[in-house]
Amino acid sequence: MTREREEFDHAAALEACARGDQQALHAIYLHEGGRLLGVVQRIVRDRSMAEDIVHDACLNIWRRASTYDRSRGSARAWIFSVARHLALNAIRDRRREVVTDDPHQVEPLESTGPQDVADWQVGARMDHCLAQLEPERRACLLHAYVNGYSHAEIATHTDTPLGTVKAWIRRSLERLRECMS
Amino acid sequence: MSPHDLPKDPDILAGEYVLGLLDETQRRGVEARLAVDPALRQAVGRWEERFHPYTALAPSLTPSERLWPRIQRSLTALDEEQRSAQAAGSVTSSPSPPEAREATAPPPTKRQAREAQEGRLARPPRRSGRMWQSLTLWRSLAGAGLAALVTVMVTEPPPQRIEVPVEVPVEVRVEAQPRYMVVLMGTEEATAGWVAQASSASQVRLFPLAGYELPEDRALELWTQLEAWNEPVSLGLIEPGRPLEIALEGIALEGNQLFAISLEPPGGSPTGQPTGPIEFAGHLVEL
Repeated sequence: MTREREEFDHAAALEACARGDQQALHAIYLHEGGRLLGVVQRIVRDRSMAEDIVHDACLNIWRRASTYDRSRGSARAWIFSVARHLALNAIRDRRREVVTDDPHQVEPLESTGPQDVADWQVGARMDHCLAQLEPERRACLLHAYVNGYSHAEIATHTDTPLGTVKAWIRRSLERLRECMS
Repeated sequence: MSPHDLPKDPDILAGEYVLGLLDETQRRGVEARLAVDPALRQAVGRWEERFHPYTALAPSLTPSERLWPRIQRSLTALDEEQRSAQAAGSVTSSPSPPEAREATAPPPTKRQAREAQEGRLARPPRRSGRMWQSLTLWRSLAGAGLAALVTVMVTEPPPQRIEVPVEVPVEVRVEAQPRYMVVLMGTEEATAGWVAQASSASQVRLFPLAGYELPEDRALELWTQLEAWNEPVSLGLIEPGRPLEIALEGIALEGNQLFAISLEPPGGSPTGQPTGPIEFAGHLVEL
């Protein structure tokens, strides 16, 4: 979390994109391109595919910038969700086949695992709420969100029955909602 | 039949969507609903905000030096296409450059929803027959789904596998660059039932997005109608849950062409025109 990134005005940049200012898109790319690539790479685990998706995400951001509405939420979350959903769409089917064929082909979680989350200063309230979940349940949510794992992959990686994983996630979402409201 | 039962609580459904835990069909279903369901849209927005900080768990990477120039080239191409489309007065769909694929998130915006509500994406067809006339009732709804789903479908990487409720999964090759697309929305519930894609003007691939329980002694028949026609023509019978290739003989695809699926007696409509209720319908969009 650098000062530079904190000071970048994502909403203003999106609004400039909406006015047709290509420099604004370039500014977004310079500030967030590396982060976007990291998020996408973590999900698709293929560098050239990840770059393709960042390319597509930038074009999407450009085309849809005028639909961003400040009052509806953070511009940075909007930008990242565009890239993340492109990545999720790209892998969902491919990954399902991988799981069926050989669950061990999927990379294991790296050291920056869910257990580190409580140390992050961003999203303090969500951190607080996530911290109240049992560690193994919290891990399920973050395997899904950060790694793009399907239910089956989470079950494999955490050595937990599939039905349990599904129930944990659903219950965890309910508890997060209560905690956040 | 579904590998994962959808949660009934829309807020939890939104959470599972944001986490990326829905399978392909379910994702598309949610995305179709986003266009017409403001509460679901807000719920998705809330979960996006809540989880967003955890994108920081993925370490940043340095993009290759070629990436930005490539984006810039695509922007230029996009700009040129938009200009020529504006000159040609195109209104049905946003033009996309060869490389651009639409994202599905974040959820559709006020502007998209308004456009859909106003039915700007779905002009009324010339109609004939009583059943065919019922199309007006949900026309704008189908338009809304279309607005959302056109963006959804173009994200699909080829080839892909679609599980259908038969013994063996059927491999469906989705066109990498479809030129035409139509999403057939259910007329009872505003969910996408079928999608048809074509990369040429003479061959259409139809594939199911959701299950459909066919009443006993009934068949589903696919119809199409060009705006210039007085009545629809049959494209034949279709089976629930089964993808299908259709050769269009003597019919050239054109923007805004209507497609619909009606419920007919076994063997199809005896009159050559739809006789039963329209179950799904949508307008063709030229991409």
